[in-house]
Amino acid sequence: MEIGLERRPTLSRRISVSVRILAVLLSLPFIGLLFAAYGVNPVDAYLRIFTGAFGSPYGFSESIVKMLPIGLCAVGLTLAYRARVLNIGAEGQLIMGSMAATWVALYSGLPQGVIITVMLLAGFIFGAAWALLPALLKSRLSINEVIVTLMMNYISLRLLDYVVTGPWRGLTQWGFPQTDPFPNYARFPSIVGTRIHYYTLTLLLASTLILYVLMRRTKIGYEIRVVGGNPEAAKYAGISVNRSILLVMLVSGGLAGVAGVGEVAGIHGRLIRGISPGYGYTAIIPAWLGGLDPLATLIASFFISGLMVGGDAIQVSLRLPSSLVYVFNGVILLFIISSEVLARYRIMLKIGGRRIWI
Amino acid sequence: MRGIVKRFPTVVALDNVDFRVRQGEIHALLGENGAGKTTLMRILYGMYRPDVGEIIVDGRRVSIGSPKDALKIGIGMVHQHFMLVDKLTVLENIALFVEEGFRIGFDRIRSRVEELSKTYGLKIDLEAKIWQLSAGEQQKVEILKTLYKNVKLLILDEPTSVLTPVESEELFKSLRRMVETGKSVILITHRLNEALRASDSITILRRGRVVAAEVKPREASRLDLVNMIVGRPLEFKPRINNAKKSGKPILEVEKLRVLDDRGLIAVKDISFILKEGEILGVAGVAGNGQKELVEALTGLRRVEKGVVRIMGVDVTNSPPRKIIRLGVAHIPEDRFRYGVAPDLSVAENMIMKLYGEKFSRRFFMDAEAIQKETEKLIQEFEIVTPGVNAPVSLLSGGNIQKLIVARELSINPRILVASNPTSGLDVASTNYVHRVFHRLREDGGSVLLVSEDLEEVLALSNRILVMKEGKIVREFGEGASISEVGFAMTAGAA
Repeated sequence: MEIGLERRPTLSRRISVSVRILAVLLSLPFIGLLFAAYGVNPVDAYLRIFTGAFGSPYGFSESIVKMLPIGLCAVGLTLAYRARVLNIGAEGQLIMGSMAATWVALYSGLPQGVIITVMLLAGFIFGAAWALLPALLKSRLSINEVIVTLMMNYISLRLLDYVVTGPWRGLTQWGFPQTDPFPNYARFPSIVGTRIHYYTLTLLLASTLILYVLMRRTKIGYEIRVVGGNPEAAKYAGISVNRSILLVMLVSGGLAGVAGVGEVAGIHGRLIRGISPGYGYTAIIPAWLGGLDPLATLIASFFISGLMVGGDAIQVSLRLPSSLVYVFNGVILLFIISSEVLARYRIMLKIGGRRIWI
Repeated sequence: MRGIVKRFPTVVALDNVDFRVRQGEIHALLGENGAGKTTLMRILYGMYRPDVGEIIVDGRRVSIGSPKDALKIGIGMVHQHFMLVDKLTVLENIALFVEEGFRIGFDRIRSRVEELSKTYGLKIDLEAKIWQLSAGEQQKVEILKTLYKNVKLLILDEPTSVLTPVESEELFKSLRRMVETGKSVILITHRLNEALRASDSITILRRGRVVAAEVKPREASRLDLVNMIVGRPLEFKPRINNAKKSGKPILEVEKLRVLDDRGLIAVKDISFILKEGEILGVAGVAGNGQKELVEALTGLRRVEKGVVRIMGVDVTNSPPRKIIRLGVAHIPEDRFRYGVAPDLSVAENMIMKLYGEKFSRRFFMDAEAIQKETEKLIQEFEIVTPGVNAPVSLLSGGNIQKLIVARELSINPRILVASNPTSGLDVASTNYVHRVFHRLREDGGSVLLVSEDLEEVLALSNRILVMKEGKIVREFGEGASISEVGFAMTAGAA
């Protein structure tokens, strides 16, 4: 018997979707080993995760709540990754957005009617600005964006620590590292009985749709695909590679910034230390899981958010460490990325004289 | 090789092929793009497995599962694209390939390589870094690598496509020495003259079948070969004459200075004019500034000094888009680097030049127009592809080149800047491209033809500029001889 890899004659959507689903399924027994190491029955753990996330109205709505920041970051990242701009800085861009919105809410003195709009705009602009520096460094000096965006995450994290323990520390907060609460008119309303802040939800759905159309149907989307496919060829075709890099970074940074606004105005009602438990990093997973397609990425974001909610559930009920969920996420990402090869190649088994392709 | 069959998902690449090479001969393998030459050789070198058939070496049936197996039984291959590490020296590259232990015995390897290069006349500086070498020198390194492994059979895939006439002669001399010592050589080539002159025996493939085996070059004429390769008679090489002598200048270059990637002056203050309805050939050994010249003209490289004007418009350091809009098409030298985005579809690659003009309405792309145009061009240029939406990476090298040529001509250019436009194309496609150049010229368009294929330059051009070390050293009119131009390229009369 022989085993070999052969190039697939065509790349079909059906195959790439089923390969990804297969990757997620294959990662399950792997993580199961970890559960087993903690003396927990893996099947039981998975059932609890699933029912915790999707089995009750509360779990379901909480999964949507987490989908808002993850989805906004992830959908923006699909754009950047399509252009082969590896923005790892959604986390920092999200934090900058949340800080900008906080300043508007607490210190701008803007009236009720406009303040939410200004908060959202400020969030987008600051998120985008935080992505601008790595974009400029990449396009002008060819400095690797992975390193710069990653490093800038740490800078923003320290900035956040500084403002919530220093100048912005709330007078009514008994010394906790957080700001005073926003006035009510600077907070996002939620769907009754849940924590789903629907302004952010609307923005998420709208931006998903816009980016979906942008990528598939427009000139800009075409340019981004060519830049991602071969930047040299893009230059040769008269496409401005620098402009595309700038555009995708600003949009993905801006959307991450908006995610940050949603967190302070929709969930906490104030800025706190650790405003994001790594949403910007987590968002990388659904972007790839969704094959860099905005719609599929939205769905994948919901799935990953469910994992986090379900993870929280077993943390309590099975007394497992909270970091296990992140291990879970990491393993899934690893499986998805390794499975890419199967979307392009098929496995050929030769048994006797017969060939079987998978 | 006996009864070889290889099927790919959409085509039968080789259909019951028998192929025999005798010891001590240079055997030429001819055929069109996609005829199966490269596939057959890749099977022999263990890169592919045949579906059916057997390989017999020295009377013994062998199973070749990988290039490693092939080298072990004495079969080596030099690919069209060299497999060398740019930043390492010649010696280091050879060591990388041949050393099997943990420690590298540089001294041992050096003395062996020096001996080999003396025996076969492959002179080379072992301490030079690969990026400093010309393509011809790099090829010597590749050959030395395989000789070091004591190959008995050496396969060369279009070796002369990167060589000057003089270098080609040298190569054939070395190959001759190899077969004199009992080795055998398989030469894949598109150039009939080479096959006729340099080989001892010729096999021709057409559409995956052998149409002629072990033809003796003495007994065949050029025309015989063409007919066998193409399978139908072909009007050969439309000789292009009578340029409109009064053509207005369409491209003017004045005292142009351009730097190369290392920041050295590659184009040294050259001036020339391309007239309407003219094919202007630029001949020269690769690496004498042609690449930098072409890139500067098309907006891909900064102009340091001087002026470029297209139809009177100053386009010095203009962005590529502006130059494209003025009607300048460009067939790039390195088709994989510039020409296509391999993961994108045939259609997406086909519209790369006019996506913003012809194939979009305001903000949106016009899917219907894209589909239609792509289908039209695929048919017109006989591009073999699984479909309009298949990624370009699934196409063969020759078909990718056809795609690029089709795309560039589809923008109805006023000026076509073409670098080695037919490299890797088969006889029929080459012929087609030449005819298209001709037609373009008849319609008042102009072609700047930069090519290392001297025969091509001579056959097509109204005038020929010879570039050497960044300067134009000679200009020839029509009717120059190949030896004159070849001499100017290498010896360089100022």
